[in-house]
Amino acid sequence: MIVTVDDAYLTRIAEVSAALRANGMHIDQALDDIGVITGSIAGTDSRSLANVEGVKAVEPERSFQLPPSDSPIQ
Amino acid sequence: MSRPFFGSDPREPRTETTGRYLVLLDQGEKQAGIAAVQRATDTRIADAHDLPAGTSVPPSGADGLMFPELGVAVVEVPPEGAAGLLAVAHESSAVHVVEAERVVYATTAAPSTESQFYLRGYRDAVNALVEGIVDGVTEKPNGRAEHGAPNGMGTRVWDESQSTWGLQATAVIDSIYSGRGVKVAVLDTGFDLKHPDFADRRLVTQSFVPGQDVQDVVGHGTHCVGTACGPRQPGVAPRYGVAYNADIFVGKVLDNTGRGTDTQILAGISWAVRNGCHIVSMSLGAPTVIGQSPSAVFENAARRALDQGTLVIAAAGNESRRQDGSIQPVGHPANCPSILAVAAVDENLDVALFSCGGVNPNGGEVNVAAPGVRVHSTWPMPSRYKAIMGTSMATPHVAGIAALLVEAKPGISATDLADLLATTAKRLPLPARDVGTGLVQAP
Repeated sequence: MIVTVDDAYLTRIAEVSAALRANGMHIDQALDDIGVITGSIAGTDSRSLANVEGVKAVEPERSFQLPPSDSPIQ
Repeated sequence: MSRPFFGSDPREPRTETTGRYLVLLDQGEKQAGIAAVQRATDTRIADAHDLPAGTSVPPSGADGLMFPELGVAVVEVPPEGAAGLLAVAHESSAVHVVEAERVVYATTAAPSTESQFYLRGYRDAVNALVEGIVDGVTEKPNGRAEHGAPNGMGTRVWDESQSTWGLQATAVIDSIYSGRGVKVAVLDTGFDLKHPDFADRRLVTQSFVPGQDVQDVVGHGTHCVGTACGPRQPGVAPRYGVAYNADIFVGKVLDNTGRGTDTQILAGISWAVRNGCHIVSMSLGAPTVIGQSPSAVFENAARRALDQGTLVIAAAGNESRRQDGSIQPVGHPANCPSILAVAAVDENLDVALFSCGGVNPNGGEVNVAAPGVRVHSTWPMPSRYKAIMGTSMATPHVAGIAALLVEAKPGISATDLADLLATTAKRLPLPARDVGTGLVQAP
């Protein structure tokens, strides 16, 4: 999961992390400079994270994949 | 592939008509005109004012309808009556023109392949005609040479002995700037730290892939760093790099199979912001679908990066197959409004067939275009160089040029930098959907 923190909480990202942890999220990284917290949560109810104070949005993590090295279009 | 001239294979669209006629009346003599038409063709023409609003067909018993505001009547006459109609136009001062009524259709967003072929052939022929009058390399008013002259066969020919066509088309080789003092981060598969062309360059590197170091074994990252920041005089010509004096920050966010996650990319962006990088170049993305909203996470992250002086630039994506009529939406995360999305053009300055377009009504516009076909740049040793294509190749052209702009305009804000890249782009005869404001240009 990826959480983006409310603008008003950018300086209090540690608090938001703690609150997310209390709601069952395992925190990977707190990226202070851009106000993003990454991690994972067991089960399907990631919506509970959206209600945590200081959370602006929650998204599942996407992955990217380049085409094979010998593919003409990169 | 060369295209035939217009004239060798003309495909003139056939006009569909309804069998009715439009009559243009003199605005001061409408009634006289209508009377003349009715007499000559033995018809009755109703006045639209006498009928309910929205009427567009004659009422029963009438053969025509007149629109007084326009001074235009439409009348139905049998084929033998047409001659009489034309005669009235000729004889009466109250009737100016008679035309067959046409059938019209909504224009589609993308012209058919056939129309494109026709239009391009036409354009190439006109270009060849104009440029054939002026010899090869011409001097532009500001004293800059113009490169890439059309060869009269509908394609452009570039002299790549000294520099790649991409550096010529973007005016990089004419620029006095080098990106000195500017920090450019390239988030990708890393870099070949042993590449001889960069032996004397200082690189700041960081891997965000657990268990893997920055050394590039894929090639993609090496190629992109080369385009963005390659040397002015590489070991082997031609020159392929834009900002040859920029400070290079290599962030490995894609692993040795070319795979990465949002987390890795975000960590890379965060690192770049913290290190005061002016520009972040991301030749990566994931496909999107029409109606999909941009990621709130990436949009917020990119906006915050902008506020802190970092412009994030990303590839629009390669999912289109324009040869089959398919234009796919700009991918994630380039579709974020706060991220500059880069499309690809080919050597003829046409939009590349694979280049994604701004077709999503919800975000996802293309901001600018840059060279993205047959782009020669560095590759891990022993290959040393390789020419590949993609919006991945267009993106570092923009990143490098952004670095030149930062050097040219010290203290420029990241938001103003994005605006400047867009406003100084060279206009192309292509829709904004495909190329944004046009082909990015060096200062």
